[in-house]
Amino acid sequence: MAIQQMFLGLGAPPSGGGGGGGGASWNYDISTASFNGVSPHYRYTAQVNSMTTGFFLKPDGTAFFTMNSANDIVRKHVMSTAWDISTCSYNSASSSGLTHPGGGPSKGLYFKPDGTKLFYIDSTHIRAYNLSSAWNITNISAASDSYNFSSNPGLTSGSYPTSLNFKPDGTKVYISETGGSSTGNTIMEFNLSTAWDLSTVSFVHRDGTGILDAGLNNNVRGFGFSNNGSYVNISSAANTYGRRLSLTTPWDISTLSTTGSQWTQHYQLTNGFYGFGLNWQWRDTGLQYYFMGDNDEMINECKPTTAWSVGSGQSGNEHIFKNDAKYVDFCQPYKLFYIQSNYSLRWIDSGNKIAYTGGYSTKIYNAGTPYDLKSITSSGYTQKSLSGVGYGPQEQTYNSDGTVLFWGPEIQYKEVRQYNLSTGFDAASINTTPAHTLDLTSGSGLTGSIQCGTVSDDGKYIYAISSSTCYQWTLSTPFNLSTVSFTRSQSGFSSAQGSMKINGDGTQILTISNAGKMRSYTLSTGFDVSTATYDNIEVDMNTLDPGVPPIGWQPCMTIAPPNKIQFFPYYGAYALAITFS
Amino acid sequence: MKVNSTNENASVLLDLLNTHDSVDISEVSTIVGSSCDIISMINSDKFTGFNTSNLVVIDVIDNSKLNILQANTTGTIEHQ
Repeated sequence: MAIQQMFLGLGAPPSGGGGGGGGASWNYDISTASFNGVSPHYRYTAQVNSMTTGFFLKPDGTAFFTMNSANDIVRKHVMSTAWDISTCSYNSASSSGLTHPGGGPSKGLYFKPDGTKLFYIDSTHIRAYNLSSAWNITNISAASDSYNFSSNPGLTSGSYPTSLNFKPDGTKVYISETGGSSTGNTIMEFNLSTAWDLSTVSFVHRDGTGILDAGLNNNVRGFGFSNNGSYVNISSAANTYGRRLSLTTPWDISTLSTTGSQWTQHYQLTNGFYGFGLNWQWRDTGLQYYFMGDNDEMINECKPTTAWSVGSGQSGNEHIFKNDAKYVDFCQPYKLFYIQSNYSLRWIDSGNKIAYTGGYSTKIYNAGTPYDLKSITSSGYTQKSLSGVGYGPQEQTYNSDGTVLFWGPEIQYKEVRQYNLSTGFDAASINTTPAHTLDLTSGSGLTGSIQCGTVSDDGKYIYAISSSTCYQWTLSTPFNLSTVSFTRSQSGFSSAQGSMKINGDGTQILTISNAGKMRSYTLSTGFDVSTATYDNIEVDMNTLDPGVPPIGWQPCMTIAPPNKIQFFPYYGAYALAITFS
Repeated sequence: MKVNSTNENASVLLDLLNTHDSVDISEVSTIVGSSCDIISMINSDKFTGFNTSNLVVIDVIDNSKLNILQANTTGTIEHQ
């Protein structure tokens, strides 16, 4: 929606003096956005956008197979370098979806090790397709064998099946079920008297321990075994729990035990675990695994430092490798400089430092290379706790010598605070008594929730977006909040914005929505938001590149001149740079 | 260990479990965080004093998650 030019009689504001992005100028044509980096994530939202229902890793580490609820089609994604997801690309799809005469959707995926047969379940049966050419899913035909698991003894009353998995020699098959929360969660075990032949299946037992109904395990949506069958990893939609349990007798599900168990969370990397067939896929060394959530269409690569061990999606040691030099324009912030709950990051001091806050305190970190996210270090960082502040500052802006900090716009108390520093860019020297405070609701008409906000680099203008309206304040003396006054507001911006920036001469505003969509606005009069016009360009980060994980809620957009924007989403599980040509 | 601050992020509190077997948060009056973070605190069974905490949930939550939060604290639950 274009914003009509609307001058309010205040005249043209002075031109920006501070440049942009912490000291350098920028103006981006966002239609040229690209991810030129290397990422340990692979996303295929461009192919399909719906719930994950199946996930399988070819045992030699060269391909993934996925299935989604939209059409039950099986998709193949290949890694040109085995076990390296950064080399993954979309390859092919089955010509039609896997049928589910017993009730849909089709769930779970498992391939016979020679690649000639695939298995899955519907609501009543284990079913299979034959592949005329090994691992080629473009030519498949329904197999004649199947197994009805809906009786003798059948599912637990009130439960539905969620996934299947096999012992790799084809002599056992397992089906998980759930009642949808804390009841009816079990894994059933079946024998195959002839390996891989569903006509020879017989029920053995279910775990029957009640362990899977417990709060840390329930709502089972997938499971994966260690290669010797002594561990089983549960995907629990009770949250996004990855629970490692053990089998006292390998491959015997009735011996399910919490001995040596691990409990981890993965919401830092995925939308949720409400899908089906969310089986953990392990390399046989136990030092590499892959997992998927329900609606991200994203495969995550992880490399535990202890075999068969799973840590949380953000703090686990399996994420350390993501900060290797190989991963250009990508980092794992939590493991790199120990940040999480990110509300704002902004390059300062010409990109030699970055200001960060997770709320209630402020920190300044050093960068070895200006504006390079991979060079940020926790060594020598400074910090200060700030009392009485809200939890959600959307911006932190320092003046050029680092002696003044604007904290905010902040979303809880709807304010901007000015703090003075006795030593430039040393957060420890902040005088915690604010020099001035701007109440963003006073005289502005702003009453709703603030989604995001920013301050121009030159300290003359403050902006906040609430709903679809952008509010502007002007300071007659830069970085002196006692001289601020409300200037104007302008409707017509898109709502649900997660972050915004204005460039150094005030002619461009960029926004990123909580749905991961970036927009550009041109201001015909610098810094005057009433002259902003939507450029009719929206870049969807969800489909920009397979290596780009979801960027949305609390995206923490930062400017890295001359040609990049970086995102440090809330959980600190990943950050990346987008390049503009 | 005992946390002495009055306002804390749920993710920061969860992080303490990496180095402590139990965490006393009875002095923390307000916990801010995503619903996933806060529910993980509840499910961990390793925090004492949670039952009176005021909660500020910063992401969109459904009724099932809200019910979990309401069942585990007598404090206020605010959604931003």
